Amino acid sequence: MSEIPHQARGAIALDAAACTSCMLCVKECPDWCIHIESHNEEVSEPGARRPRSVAVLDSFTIDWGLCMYCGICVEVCPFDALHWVPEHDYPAPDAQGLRHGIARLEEFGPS
Amino acid sequence: MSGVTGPPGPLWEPWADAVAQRVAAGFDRLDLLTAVDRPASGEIEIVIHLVRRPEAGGLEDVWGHTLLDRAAPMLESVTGLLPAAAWHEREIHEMFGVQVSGHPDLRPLLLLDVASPPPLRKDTPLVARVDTPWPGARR
Repeated sequence: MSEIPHQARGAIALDAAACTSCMLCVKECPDWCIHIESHNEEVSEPGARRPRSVAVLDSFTIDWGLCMYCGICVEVCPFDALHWVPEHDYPAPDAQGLRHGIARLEEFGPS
Repeated sequence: MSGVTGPPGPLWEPWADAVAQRVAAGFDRLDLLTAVDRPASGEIEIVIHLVRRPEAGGLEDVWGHTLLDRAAPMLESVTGLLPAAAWHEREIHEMFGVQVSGHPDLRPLLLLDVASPPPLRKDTPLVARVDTPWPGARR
């Protein structure tokens, strides 16, 4: 069997540190398979006139049972927090197991 | 709706005879048989694509289409001419609610409940989508 090419579109991986919870991927996803939970935190910096509001990502879920691998989320992400990886082998014994959260999506690794 | 038309050429009517003519002319390989719902004109279009391989080499193909009354769509089966058409006609029956006369076995392929509205009609709501709140509405 030949090697899987490195640019193969097997899964969509997440770089949570790059995600700003802007919701663009969630809004553009044609079959609504991405769910984001986030909250805002106020960050006070010395010297700043008022505290900054920063979005903090609480959960990021892709439901592979719904995903049709169109890649629109990867295209629209302004911060490259989503990228394709060749890994394609991630079955689950039930539908719930196909819902991958931040930890699992980061495990797919860098692009 | 303008600009959206079926394949060019006259309608194949009567349907089964028209298909039989092409099959007799050597176009005996079924590439595609499907339906298009056209609610604006009250029609369901049936589309067929047949292929033949001339001895000289290469490929020749022919597109055919016909229009059915959307309110009571009836289609003559061509499964007797092209056995491969059986599942395509079952699918057209199941997904578009078209009655296929002379078909040997119209059991649904996917749906549990054939009494439900045909899923590929443009005006059939996708229940799962109506029930699901849009995740993008958060925040």
